[in-house]
Amino acid sequence: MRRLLLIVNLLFVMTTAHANDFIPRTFVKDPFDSRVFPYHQVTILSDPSEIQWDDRVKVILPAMAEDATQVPVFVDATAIDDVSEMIVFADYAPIPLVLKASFDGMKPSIGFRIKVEQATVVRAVVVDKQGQHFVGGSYINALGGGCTTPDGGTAKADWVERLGRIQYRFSRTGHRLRVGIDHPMDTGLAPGIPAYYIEQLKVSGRGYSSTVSLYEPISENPVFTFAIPEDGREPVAMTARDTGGDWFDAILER
Amino acid sequence: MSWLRLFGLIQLALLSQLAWANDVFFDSLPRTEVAPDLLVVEGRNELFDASNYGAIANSILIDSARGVLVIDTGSNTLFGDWLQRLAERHFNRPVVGVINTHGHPDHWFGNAAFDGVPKLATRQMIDYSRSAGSDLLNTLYATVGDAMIGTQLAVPDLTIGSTLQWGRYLFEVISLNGHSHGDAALFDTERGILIAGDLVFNGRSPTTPHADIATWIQVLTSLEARAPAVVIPGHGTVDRTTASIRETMRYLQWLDQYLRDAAQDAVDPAQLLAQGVPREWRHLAVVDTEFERSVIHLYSAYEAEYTKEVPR
Repeated sequence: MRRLLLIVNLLFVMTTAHANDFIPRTFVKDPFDSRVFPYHQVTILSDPSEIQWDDRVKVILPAMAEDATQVPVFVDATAIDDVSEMIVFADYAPIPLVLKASFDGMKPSIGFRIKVEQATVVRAVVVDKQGQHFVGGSYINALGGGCTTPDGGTAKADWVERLGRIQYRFSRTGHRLRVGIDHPMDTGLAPGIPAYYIEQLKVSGRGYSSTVSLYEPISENPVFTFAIPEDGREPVAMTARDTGGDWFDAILER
Repeated sequence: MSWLRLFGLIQLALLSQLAWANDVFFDSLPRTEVAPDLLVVEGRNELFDASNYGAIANSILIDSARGVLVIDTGSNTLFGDWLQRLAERHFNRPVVGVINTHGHPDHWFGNAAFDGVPKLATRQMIDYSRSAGSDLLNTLYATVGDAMIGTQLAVPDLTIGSTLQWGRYLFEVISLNGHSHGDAALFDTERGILIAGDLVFNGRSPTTPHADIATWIQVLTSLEARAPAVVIPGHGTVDRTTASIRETMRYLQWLDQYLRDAAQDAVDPAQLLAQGVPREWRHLAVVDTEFERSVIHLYSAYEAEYTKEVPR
């Protein structure tokens, strides 16, 4: 009888393990107790063994998505040493992955705007040079409709005229750059409008650079904030490439 | 007694409980008698929420031999119905006219309770309400919840003129912009009573999603110059000085400068939100939320003023 029970138990464990292919190797103590984070851990992050929650990864968001198509996000991982990559995604979104960024000779921080479809945790996972993953995140409330609303993007008649227009500003100390590029950033989820978005953005200067891979949730006419290491007169070079094969290059003079 | 009948009775009891609960809440709202024929009902200085049944703005009842005029009808039919009963109770007369000071839903979604009663507003308010009404209604169903049940859009049908005679009052209708698309303020010169709508907030931070701050500040300067004896704000208690006008003005001036400085210094909007509101303005109700909304709606226009464009 005992043996039978053991076998049944074993069978039970095997079937449940089989039923869920998305059990990560390492359990992350998640303050939001999210049901889908383990899934993203396996699919987006490729199930790393060294992964933990860390308050030093700061994700700054409004409490409420007042405009669900333009939600400002700022990720600051300056307190983590030797950052090799930053990955940002939303727990609940039709397309969860937002961006992947690397920083060379620059502080690992970035500001951008996203579309949200519903209330969700937005997470940043920072990977250091030893392969350790540090998870941070914040919750945003939303009434919904950011990704699938056809308003904006190529649905606007004059988008072609404005395509690729680049505007920017340096802070007074010169250590911060805000740069925006006019682009519809269509997700492909709005009926009849194919996906069309900037998929790579790079800023660089003397001895520093940041490369950012962008995905569908980034807002229309995206604007980014970068921390620039030197405050001199040197210009910053910027280049962007979209899914249509277009290149947008600019030299951002001080 | 059959089960069905018992069930029906229980349901009736529950329903009457519900009706009772919101009426008790509306009865608990502070009321100020500015004059024997002019009553102000003060909504809570809060955000839309199920617990306040959406009663967050001020409504004004003015009595006359013709009947009662209601200025701003609250967020739902429930509140409109209650205002109707309040008019009967307080003045012994029915409501025969409605004015909406502007198109934000906490000021006109109670209109449907006044079926067949003429409703007046500025032309811009009417246009805005026609186009944005159903979206606003969805938002209110989501934030206020059950108290919205039965609420339908009743957009004002008449354009308000430049003067309005009601009982012993002769109001100059000041049709302005600033706070929203078409704000109306009413001023009785003889008694110095200013019904300001949301051009003036008292003890609550101003709502700015549709604001044109520079225009709004000008408007407040001109309202203050009229030296009203009583200011009835859109939100907050009745003010017998003009302090609420100045407070609204100073807040807007601060906000304008704060956003301008941040834009000049290339501050990320999310970081600006994290900095929050300085001590000076922390006494204002719901200031954190309103500041957040201001940043979301207004900041990019400030940024556009200070960005350089890469020549092509």
